[in-house]
Amino acid sequence: MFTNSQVHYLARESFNAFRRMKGMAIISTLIMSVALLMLSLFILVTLNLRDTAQSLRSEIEVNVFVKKDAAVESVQALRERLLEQPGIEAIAYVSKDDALAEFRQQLGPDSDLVDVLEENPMPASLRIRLEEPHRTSEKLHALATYLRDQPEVDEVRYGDTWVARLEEAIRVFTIVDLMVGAIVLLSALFVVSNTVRLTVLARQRTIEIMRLVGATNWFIRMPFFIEGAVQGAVAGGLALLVLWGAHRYAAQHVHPLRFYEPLQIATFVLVCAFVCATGSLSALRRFLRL
Amino acid sequence: MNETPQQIGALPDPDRHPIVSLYHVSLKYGSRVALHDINLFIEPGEFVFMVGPSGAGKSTLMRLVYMEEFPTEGQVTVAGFVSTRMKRHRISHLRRKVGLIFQDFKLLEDRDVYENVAFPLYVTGANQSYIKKTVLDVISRVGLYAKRYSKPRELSGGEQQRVAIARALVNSPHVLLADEPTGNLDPEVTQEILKLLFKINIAGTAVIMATHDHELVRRFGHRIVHLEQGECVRDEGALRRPGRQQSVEPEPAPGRETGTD
Repeated sequence: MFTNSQVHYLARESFNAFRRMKGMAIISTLIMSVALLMLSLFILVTLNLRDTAQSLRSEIEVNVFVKKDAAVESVQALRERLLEQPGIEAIAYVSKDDALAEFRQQLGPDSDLVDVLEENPMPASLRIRLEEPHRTSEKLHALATYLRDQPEVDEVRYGDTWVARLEEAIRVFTIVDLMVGAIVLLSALFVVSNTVRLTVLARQRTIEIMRLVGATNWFIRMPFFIEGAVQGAVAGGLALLVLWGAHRYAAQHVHPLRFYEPLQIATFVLVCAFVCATGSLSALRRFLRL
Repeated sequence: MNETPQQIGALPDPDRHPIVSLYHVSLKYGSRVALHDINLFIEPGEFVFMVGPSGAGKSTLMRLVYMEEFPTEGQVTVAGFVSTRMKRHRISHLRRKVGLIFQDFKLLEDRDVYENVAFPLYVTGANQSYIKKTVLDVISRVGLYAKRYSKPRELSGGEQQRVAIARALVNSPHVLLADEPTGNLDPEVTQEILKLLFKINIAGTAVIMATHDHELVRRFGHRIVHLEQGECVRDEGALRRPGRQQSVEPEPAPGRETGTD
């Protein structure tokens, strides 16, 4: 497509552009990185809140208390039947003794309350963990109804009001998050595309002269494409660097939070590079009359 | 003066293909007519002044020649490129055969003389040693060798225009288009630039120079094409060139007759 000297020239030109217009390049990169910082901050906050929601939902379990007179065998049979139900991840059998031991532990070593008991008052129970997609209040309700019909079952508890409130909170959060996300994303795109357009405008004259002396459109585009990609990657990387600093501070002093994984970082930087590169190409369209 | 009736845009010698030809060319922007039925044939090595008041269509005609614009009617042919069959991506190939000079020089302010002149060669992908040799040669021809590392802002207007001329020559164009090249220059420097253009023409490059200053160019005895309100009203000197057929060839389209010279 290009000869050696053209490639040589393009490489020189693309990186010289930073040198030639140092101030312009630095300022536009900074502006873009501020916009991208907002975007990456938003995404990170969303991811962390999702983590929290996830871990809250993972605490959802169904406690099935069996009747006092139910034989161990029939409870085992109930467990077997339940395991055939869809969406069950695991079922733990908690015997009366286990339950008492747990209770003792909860009270702490200094308490002798348990010791004064003449008889173990704790019922045996089944603790059911559900698979991720089945942790909804609807499905929990259905399961509870089924369980209450079983002869061995005395009581079923799964914190239904808590689950409902958690679900409502997650629903509201998702809607707000999507709206804010759309605004942040659009404003980041707006800032980036305008900044890119400015850098292209600043070199309108060069573009015009290139056209007049017989440069092909691809040859004119190339430096802008490379520059846009480099600028986008640098701006994205810078935004993530600042965010990482803030994250480290927050993680040490406030609350342990997660940061982007390497693959996510790479994706973010690549997407920034791609958006800036295509942005500068589309800003060029006007001058190239395509 | 010569009483022979002249035909505007005389047909070229059949043995020589014109380097630039405009055949019944009209250009309209909506309802506004920028150029109307222009017939103009320029041969290789010819020197043509194009005069007319500003707004007469000189720059527009130039833009048709370097195919920045295309006629709404008629056909422009330049160095074998035909406007009616032109593909967008081929325009860059045409530009390499046509040198361009403008009133505002159009130099890259952030590069020195050498880089400015070398620019078209970088763009077209010549090899490094060829670029160096050619660029230094052309810079010497326009007399700026000593200032080859100066930036445009360190040069006078005349010098800047000479850089632009060097840049236009570096691809050895078949034709040099100069659109008001002396518009920003004082009379003394104007003469220098004209002399340089004549020198280039003598070396074999066809030159078309647009100017609004008829007085400036009438005494040189070169062909002068007069444009007024988008029409070609007079073509002085076209038929007096040696080796030209004097007969007016029959043409299906009406040849525009003007009065005597």
